[in-house]
Amino acid sequence: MKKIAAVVLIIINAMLLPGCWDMREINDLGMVMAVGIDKDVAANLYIVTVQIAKPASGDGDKKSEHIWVVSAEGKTIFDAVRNLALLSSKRIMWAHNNLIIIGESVARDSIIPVIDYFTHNPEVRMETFVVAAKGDAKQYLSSTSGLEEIPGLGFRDMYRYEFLTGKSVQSNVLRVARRYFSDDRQIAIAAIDFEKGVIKPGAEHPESEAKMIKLAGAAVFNDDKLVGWLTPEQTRGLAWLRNEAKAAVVTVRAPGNENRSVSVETHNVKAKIETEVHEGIPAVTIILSGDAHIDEEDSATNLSMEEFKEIIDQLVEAEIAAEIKLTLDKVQKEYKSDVLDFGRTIHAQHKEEWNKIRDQWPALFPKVPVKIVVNIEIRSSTTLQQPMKDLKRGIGQ
Amino acid sequence: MIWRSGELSHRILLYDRWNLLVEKQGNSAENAPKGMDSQLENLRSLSCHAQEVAQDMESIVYSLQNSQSVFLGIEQNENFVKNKIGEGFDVKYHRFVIEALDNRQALIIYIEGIVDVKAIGELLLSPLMQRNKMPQAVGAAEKPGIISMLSSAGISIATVKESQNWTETCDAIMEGNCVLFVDQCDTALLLSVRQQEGRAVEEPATESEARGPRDGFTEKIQTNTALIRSRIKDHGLRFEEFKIGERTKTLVVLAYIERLVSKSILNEVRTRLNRIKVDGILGSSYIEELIEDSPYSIFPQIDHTERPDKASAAILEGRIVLMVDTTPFALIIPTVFWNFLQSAGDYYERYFIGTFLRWIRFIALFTSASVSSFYIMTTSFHQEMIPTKLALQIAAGRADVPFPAVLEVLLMEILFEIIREAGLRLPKAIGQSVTFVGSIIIGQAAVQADLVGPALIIVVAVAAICNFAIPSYSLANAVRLIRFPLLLVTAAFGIFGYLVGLTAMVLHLLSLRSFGESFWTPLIPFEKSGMKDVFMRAPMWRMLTRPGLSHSEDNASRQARGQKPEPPDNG
Amino acid sequence: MMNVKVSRTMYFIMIINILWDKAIGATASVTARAIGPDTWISMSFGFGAGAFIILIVAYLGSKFPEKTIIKYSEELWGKLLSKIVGIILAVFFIVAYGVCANVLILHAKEYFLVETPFVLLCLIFTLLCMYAVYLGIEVIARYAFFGAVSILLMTMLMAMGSNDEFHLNYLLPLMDRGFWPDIAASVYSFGDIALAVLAAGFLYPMLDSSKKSLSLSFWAMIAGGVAVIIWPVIETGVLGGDMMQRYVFCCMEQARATELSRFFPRFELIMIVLFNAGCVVQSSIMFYCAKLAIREVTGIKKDVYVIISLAVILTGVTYFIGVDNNNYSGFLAYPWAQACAALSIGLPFLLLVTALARGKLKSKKLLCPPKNQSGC
Repeated sequence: MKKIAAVVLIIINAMLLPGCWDMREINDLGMVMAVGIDKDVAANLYIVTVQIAKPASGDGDKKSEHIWVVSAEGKTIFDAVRNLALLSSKRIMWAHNNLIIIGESVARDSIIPVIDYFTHNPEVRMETFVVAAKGDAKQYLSSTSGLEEIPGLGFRDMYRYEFLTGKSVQSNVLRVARRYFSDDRQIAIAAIDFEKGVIKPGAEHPESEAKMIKLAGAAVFNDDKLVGWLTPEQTRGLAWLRNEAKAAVVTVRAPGNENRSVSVETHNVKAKIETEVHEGIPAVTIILSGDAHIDEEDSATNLSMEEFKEIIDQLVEAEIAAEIKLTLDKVQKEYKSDVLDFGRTIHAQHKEEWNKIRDQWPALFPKVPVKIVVNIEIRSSTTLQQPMKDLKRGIGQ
Repeated sequence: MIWRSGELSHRILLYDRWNLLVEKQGNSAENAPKGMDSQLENLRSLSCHAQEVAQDMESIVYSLQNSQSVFLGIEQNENFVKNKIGEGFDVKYHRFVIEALDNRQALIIYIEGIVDVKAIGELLLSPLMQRNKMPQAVGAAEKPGIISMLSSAGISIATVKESQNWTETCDAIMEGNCVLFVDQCDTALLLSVRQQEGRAVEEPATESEARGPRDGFTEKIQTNTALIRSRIKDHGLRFEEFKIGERTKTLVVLAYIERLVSKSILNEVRTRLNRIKVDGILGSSYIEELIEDSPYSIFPQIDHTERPDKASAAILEGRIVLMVDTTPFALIIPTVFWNFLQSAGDYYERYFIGTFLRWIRFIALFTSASVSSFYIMTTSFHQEMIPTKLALQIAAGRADVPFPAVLEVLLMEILFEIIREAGLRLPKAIGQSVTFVGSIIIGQAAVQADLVGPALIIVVAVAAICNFAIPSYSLANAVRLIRFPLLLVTAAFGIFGYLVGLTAMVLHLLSLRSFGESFWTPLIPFEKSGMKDVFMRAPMWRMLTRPGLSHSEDNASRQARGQKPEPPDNG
Repeated sequence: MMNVKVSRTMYFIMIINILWDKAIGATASVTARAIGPDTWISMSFGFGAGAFIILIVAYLGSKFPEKTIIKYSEELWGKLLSKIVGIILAVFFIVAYGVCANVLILHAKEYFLVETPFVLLCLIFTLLCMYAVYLGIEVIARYAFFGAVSILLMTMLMAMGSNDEFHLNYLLPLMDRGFWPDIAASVYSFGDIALAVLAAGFLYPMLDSSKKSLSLSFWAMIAGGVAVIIWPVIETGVLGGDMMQRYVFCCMEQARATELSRFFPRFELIMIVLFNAGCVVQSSIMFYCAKLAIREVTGIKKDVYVIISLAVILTGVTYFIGVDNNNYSGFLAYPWAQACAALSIGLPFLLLVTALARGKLKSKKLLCPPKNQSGC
């Protein structure tokens, strides 16, 4: 018995001591903060560019870059990533990746490789922000302007706060993959673009302006190909419908003064889509309801609070309806891609009819009549009891 | 033939066999001898048996000798005792004459140093040696009556015992009694005049509390039982005596309350104590090792304490406290796992802080065992587990470190254990400061020399400090040990290894028993009333029943209901 | 062997543990591949049916007190057939162990320890279960308590963490694929139900009191079913029925899609920690039942020999079933689910019919030992 125990112990120790197959020292890893994917269509090669964070060493050199950008090519994305090892002294690790930028070249070609690679890889977080870039993804990765030392980290936070405007789409790996795999929805991915911005302090040439990355609307896909871009204003209509414009600001003309505006912040806006199918032709009604607060009035007025609120209320409702209509026109009529989830709703609400019309849905979608009903109730003007007055000019007694 | 030495039945068997052989010899003598071979065979077997019987005879003679009773003649008694105990420098033999009994010779034997010599002089010798202190009618009383008469009318010492047994008498001398022999009397009188130097009652060093009584057990068992008696005045309080250890004959006392204790556990304890046959008992841990349920386990299964209030609380719950002479540590039987995480201070402070501190201890227990493994897991295997900024910080700290993380951790852990052990060996005055300063300086220097990363120092320090937060030292030691296998298995297989190691440890813990009942009562198996004292410390007026299964069935309730202080009902 | 007693709470918790781990991951994925977003409906049917089947086993167990399913099949069918039943059950439990152990091992291998040799992972897990079985069913039952706590915690955390991404919309329309296809797909749930039903054949005699033991088994299955079904509901709501189809273990994918505050970005870690207890209990009980079955068939007295030889066999079985995870999922879909369904419905049913026919259903009282000696 003792001999057996001894042998077993030796075997166990022999297994454990020589070390370990999955062990990777943390300082040997190159943590990818952001990745961009482009395609060289002529050569049929994928170009993967990664932004790797350089951990600050003990004697921190503040002026030096905190990131290192490198790029490699390959026949597939996985191949290209492995080819990065030819250039990188550290092993590439995806676990802390914050951003995936899909270059326009890839988007126009097909985003299946992107979706497949990033869902195949167990290291990737599903909450990683996915954006489509206008132009090449490579150039976005080396821009270092912005608040954060590591731009990739900055993006993660930008994604968190984008609901404040509603002018973009929340697209992360989970949502994109989910939409791709379902049979009744299309993908819309947030778009990024460059913005001429702040002059970098201490720059050698004061005239040169640093380029900053900003969220610029959305990219609309049909199946796996990019069909078009939406401006930020058009994207907001999409956001209303997806309940993603949680704290959006709507600006309307001030009553009594054509050149000034009043800004209203909406809360708790919920969109309800109701569908009906008559003889194989679906009809959709969008009902939007929520509250709002008045946040800024740019001109003085004579009206009382109740009257003011009523007028602004109607203006806001009209404005929102117009925004949605704008989006609908673009998406439904021009791009013909069902990113608005109409198909899903019809499927959910009228199962049998959907099974009949499902095959013709791409052709039917542009023709679906849509009615928009908006019910916004303005609750109050934040902290204020009276509309703006200008007593010196006698407005607002 | 299977030897079972010492059994009477076997001796009988031997004698029978001897007789049988003799008979057989007799028989074969009658028949014609079959030949030389058979004769030789018989002789050989006879001599074998004779040897065995001779060995047995020796032990029989020895035991007969020991059970021999006191002799009549005083010379014989004196010689016998001198042979047995010797005439060492502190063994005193004093012959004197009892005038009242017609100048009969008497002998006292005592061991200086453990008796109260003054008491002997005042209370024993002086009444006997003075004629006018004894009744005259003694004169020609019969021999056996003398001793009883002396003990009841002559000697002023309170605790006396008569004995005719040599073992008892010699034991009594060794224990600090004074033995009186009277000529022509075959009974010895054992007088208890024991007095021994001992420590004063002071707060125990290892278990001090902020608010609570400051007395602790000492090495004298009489003091200890007195401390318990001062707290429990119930009529059912019993102290059962055992003498354990062939050569130390250490006095071991079981303290319990008659109607509260669980009879099955009490019998189990008695059985196990009676089964102990060792040379000596020098501390309560000897007994602990000999009576626990799982002797191979690294986890303690019996709690020990130096505080009489903790021991009294245990007795009131229906448990048994086992006190050992010459050691201040008393054992509490049966123990459940949660007792190792409770401390007396929980009950002296308000219930909320008691609950909070219990949770801190649970966290400390878990952290102390696992934090090094977590460090290895997160820096060597699963870097995705930590937030990005922290990962970058750790990576920056480790950028110039030459060792892999596992080696780093092992080095620092072992170094820290050595520092801790070294701190114990140094004299108290400098020991603490050296440990403190040494660990800080070594840690700091190691970080600056880039031998280890800064995050690691914190990890090792946290593990050590959490270890100190565990109230029971035995459990803390077990946790100290379990850290290393967990670390090794985590270093081999990452989180899977950690889970396997943790599960193996938990399974092992779950399999422990404490004197027949599960080690994890009242959580598993679940007992609602006992849960009031496991993860929280319920207020005093809520603890209506005794916890666990360690009490007798019919005395579970210990408080009246409705004790919660409330304002009077004014209507 | 039959002196070991398990309390009623422990029995209840053990049955829940046997059901949970594999069902939320492997079975949910397999069912999703068949039936898409109706996974939860299909699994509900399965578990509902399972509750009634376990009633049959419990009922039979109550009529033959202190006898495992093999022993009373001997009474009903004779020695030869009961040996065959024993062998079938032993093989069943061996393969069941391989299937259950692979749940945890594949989780670890795919998401955490990609490069470690698979056989080593199988080996150390089997060593762990061997230790658990060596310590006895009481210890496993006590550990099941931790399993139950993990299940509760995991479900709560998952519900809290997927709040943001959960869309009730994705669950509609109900019965998307139709009523009968849903029922047909519930055969995949039998991969889990059979484990509980047949293990109950061995565990039922260990109950320490026969009070309401029938309803106990029934409600244990229902409770286990509820604990399981919550997961496909959440998974469908967050991932969508179509995405669930892609993965071997969609529960892990669900964990990856959950975010519980900024400081626990990786939920998979919490998932595997809480998963571990249920898996160990599940696998150990399969090991234990296999051991019991082999002992009853062969009559070997010493436990240790059976355990060690079983451990070697089980490591091999686990390795072969799991080394290619596509094979593993394929195996679960066919023939494992169908074999389980056949065995778990067929065996108790046939035994019941035989017992009725032979009039052996006279009620007998379960001998209850006095309270102080009960094991747990």
